[in-house]
This record gives sequence, structure tokens and C-alpha cells, in this order.
Amino acid sequence: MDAISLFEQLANITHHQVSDELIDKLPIELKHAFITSNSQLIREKIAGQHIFPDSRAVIQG
Amino acid sequence: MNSSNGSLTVVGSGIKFLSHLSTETEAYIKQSDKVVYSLNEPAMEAWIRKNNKNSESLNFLENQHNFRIDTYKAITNYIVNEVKKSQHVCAVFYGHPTVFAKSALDAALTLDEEGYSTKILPGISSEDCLFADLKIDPGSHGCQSYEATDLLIRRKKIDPSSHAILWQIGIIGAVQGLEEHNNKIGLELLSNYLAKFYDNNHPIIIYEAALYPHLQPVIIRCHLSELKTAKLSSLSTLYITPAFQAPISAAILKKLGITKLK
Repeated sequence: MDAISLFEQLANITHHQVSDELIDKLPIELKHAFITSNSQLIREKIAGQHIFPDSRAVIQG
Repeated sequence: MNSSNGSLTVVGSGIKFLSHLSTETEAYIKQSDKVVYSLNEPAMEAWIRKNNKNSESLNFLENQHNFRIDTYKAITNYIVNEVKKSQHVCAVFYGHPTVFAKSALDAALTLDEEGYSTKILPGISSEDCLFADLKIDPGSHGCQSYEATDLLIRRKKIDPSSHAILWQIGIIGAVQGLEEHNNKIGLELLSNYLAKFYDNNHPIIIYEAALYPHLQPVIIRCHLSELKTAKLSSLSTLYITPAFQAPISAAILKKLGITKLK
């Protein structure tokens, strides 16, 4: 199972249902980021070189 | 009305991958003729591409301009032109699509003026996540919400009796690209400005919403005096607790005929 499919699966269960067995299906670098709740690291690992915007506000004159 | 010639529906995908997608937003993503999107993470992009074969990222416009304001104008123009190709377009922005998202709102307003059908659907914003994760009710004291740079350059007045939320404290003064932005001066200016309204030992929280299901948000509790040296990211938001409860005017209570508040 690829990482995105696994996160899709995680989005459809409650936190009571998150099991070690499910988390073990994540690639090792994503597993570590998941356990440490590092959202930005997961994003980086999935995105590779692709940069996603973190902000979009503009100061208007 | 040009509704038969094309329409725009602007939707928000929320902050947390898939978990924040509403049923109506999902329907528009799947059923629209064309989907354009600006997202905060790659899994949502993959989901959209899987569910609408005619979808396109707006990120290619990010690298074409030095100033962010020009990028946002380009995004607005691109969306408007897609609608004018006589198709029903769904524009997806992360979070809530008109909270800190000038380009989406401008596209809808421009098309409104030209008689096209437009609709904006709400999404879960970072602010919504903050209220939930920090377990606060903005109605309890009132709530102020400012973009950090805007607060500083306009010298906005903060009411310390209300909740205060300051956005984008990790990129103060960044009007161009964010990659090489040095936030040190901006953070020092912000800390000094906030010290006009709060004691140095006033509690603050540095917050980042979780991007993926079942991850915890970042919640760093510290004091205002520690803000200058705090380690921030471009996702960091500052929450400041109310310093006191504003007093009640007995005269106004009487005029309203209120004899008991609780």
C-alpha cells in the first residue's frame, strides 16, 4: 500500500482504531514522522522536491 | 447571466488531508468540468487528480513572479480565463478558500461583475483548527485576528481583554519568495510591539495545525518574553490569551433591561 492510500485509510477511522499494525505499513521514514507527529516532514517525504505553499496572505497597499 | 457559458465554484479542502473535505466540496471536485487547485500538501493533490481527470495545479504560476502580490493576480486571471472557456470550474484552495486567499475571492468577484455564476463553499481554516486544538471559544472574550506584518505596519491596536491570533509570524515582512526570508528583525519588532499591550510574562502559544489524520498539532506554550528567540516555521501562528475580562457597563445593562447575566 502506498503512503497516500494509507493516509486515506487513516482519514476514515477514529483515533481509537489506529493500530501499530496499520502504522507499520508506512515506509520507515514516514513511520517515524507519524509517531513524532511531524506534519511538515511527512509532507516533504511525500512531495519530494515539490514545494507546497504555507502562506498566501498579501499586504495590500 | 452568463451561467450557461461557464461558472466558478471556489471550495476549501481544509487543513488536514481528506479529513476536512465536506460532502459538497467533494461533489464539486468530482463533477466539475475543470478543477484548478492550490494546496498545502501532496496527498490532497493526488486525491484530486484521481477524482477529476481534468485537474491542474496553479503552482506553476508561483515561479513566474518575484512578488507574491503578482502571483496572486496571475492566479486570479488564470481562474477567470478558465471560466470564460465556457466550463464549470472548481477552484480548490487549502483551508477556507477566502481566508487569506485573495486570488480566489478576486476571481469570484471579477466573474460576478461580468455576470457569471459563482459560488464559494466554506472550508475548515487554520483558525477553526486552532479553536478546536486549544479548546477555546472566541465568543468568550471576543477575538482579534491579524496577519502579523499587517498588524505591525498599520500599528493596529490590540485589545488585551480579547483572544488574539496573529498569522504568519514566521514570515514577517516577506513580500517576495519565502525560501531565503530572514525573520529575525520582524520577530523582534513584533515582540516589542506586543510588549506595549501585554506583560513580558504573559502566556502565549505558538501553534501549527496537523496536516494529516491522527497527527498531533504543534502547541508550544511559553511567555511573551520568549517570542523573540522562538523557533518558528512558515506555518506558525501566535495565540495570545486574554489578559483580563473587560468590565461590564452597569448603565448599558440597565438600558437593555438586563438584570442578571448568568
